[in-house]
Amino acid sequence: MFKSFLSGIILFSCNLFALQLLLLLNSSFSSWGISVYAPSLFLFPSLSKLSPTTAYLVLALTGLCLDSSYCTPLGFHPFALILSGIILQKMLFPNHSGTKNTPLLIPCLANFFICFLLFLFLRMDQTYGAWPLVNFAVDLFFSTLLLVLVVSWFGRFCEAVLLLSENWMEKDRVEE
Amino acid sequence: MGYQVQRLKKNPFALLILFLGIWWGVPSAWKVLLRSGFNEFQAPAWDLASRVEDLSDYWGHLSDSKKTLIEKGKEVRRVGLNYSMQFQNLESLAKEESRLNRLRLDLKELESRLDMNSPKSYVPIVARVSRRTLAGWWQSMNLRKGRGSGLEKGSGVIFYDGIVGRINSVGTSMSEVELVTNTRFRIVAHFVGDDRPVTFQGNGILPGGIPTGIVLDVPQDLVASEEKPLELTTSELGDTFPHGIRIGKVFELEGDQNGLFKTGQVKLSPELCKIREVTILSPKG
Repeated sequence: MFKSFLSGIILFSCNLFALQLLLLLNSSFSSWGISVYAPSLFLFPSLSKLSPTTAYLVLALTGLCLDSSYCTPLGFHPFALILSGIILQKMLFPNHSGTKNTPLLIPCLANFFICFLLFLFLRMDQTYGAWPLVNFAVDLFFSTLLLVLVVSWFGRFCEAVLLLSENWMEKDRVEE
Repeated sequence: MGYQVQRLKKNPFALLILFLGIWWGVPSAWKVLLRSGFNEFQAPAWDLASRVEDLSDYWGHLSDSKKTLIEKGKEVRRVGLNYSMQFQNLESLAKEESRLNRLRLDLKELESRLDMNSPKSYVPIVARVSRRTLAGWWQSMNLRKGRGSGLEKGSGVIFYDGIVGRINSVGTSMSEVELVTNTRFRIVAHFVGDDRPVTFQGNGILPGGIPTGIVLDVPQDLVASEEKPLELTTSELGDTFPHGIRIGKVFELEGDQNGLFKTGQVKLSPELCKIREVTILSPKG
């Protein structure tokens, strides 16, 4: 229980780190009018490395950070990430484990699904301003491109960090 | 009870619906508090990232070539010459200053006779931008200063090429600026040389980094063209900005739906997407 919880905290920190990198990228590319939006990046490491309850908890917390960073209605990203997670776990990969074997198409499709959900949500709720169709298409194209480049790296990065922390804990236990 | 929890765990869709139900029931004040909490939680990371960017910029300039340094030296010399020329005109500037001071006193006297409100004055606060979020649906900037520096929600924000937006939320050491391109951003404006108020509304940033807005309620007699664009400036009527700060240019006006007024697209400064430093106009008193 404690180990799963600790792994959850570590993965949440990894997600936060990746999110900050994404935001930095967006800030640097802002003069081109492009915004990279890739929430599905955070789905796969949590789903494959953690127990379902911890994974959804990590996704909910990451979602709240995404809401605060991307100025979306509070609660949208936790909902979208958990829904995508459930669909992926229950319908597509009931026995799925490990991110290495995830076809690249799946994160891209999941990202398209969340982007489309947000697009529809913003059309219905005008409080945050609509996402114009041209911007939506351009942002989606660049986000998918980024996902293709980054998704396997991020999976390996999370795996390495988890392994490192497990080794560290093991070492501590042996020393005790 | 335990049995029901187990059933819910086995059916995650039901759990999700339950989560949604609870979420809708949460009072909006708690949600606002949660959002500001997450903003404050992430603020140090944004701050750090912008400081690292500044540092890398500094290191980048340390390795500037001799040619670049000579160019910069020339630029500095040009500015210095310009300054010395201004210095030579000091006498005429002093006369101009005393004339303007006399005019200001006259205006004050007239205002008191007519029982008019004196123009609102502002205290300028300079702040560095820590992060730009120019998503398709919402454009904002985070500043490195917050409540501790005297910033208040609703204050106007400007830069060297015109208006930037207004402060949307203020944290302890960070604040968020709602950019002028946001579709929610609406202010009263004037065209240069015309006192009649018009409405300006943000209209997003097009791919390629072209910030745009819309001007509404324009009187029928005003005409704009590619050769003679109309310049839109802020108005004091909005109570956020002083009079005459540049918003953008209008190159074409067309009749609106009811035919009473005209509307047109406003081209804002492309520098808006690259800003690194802004000035906040904090109301005096």
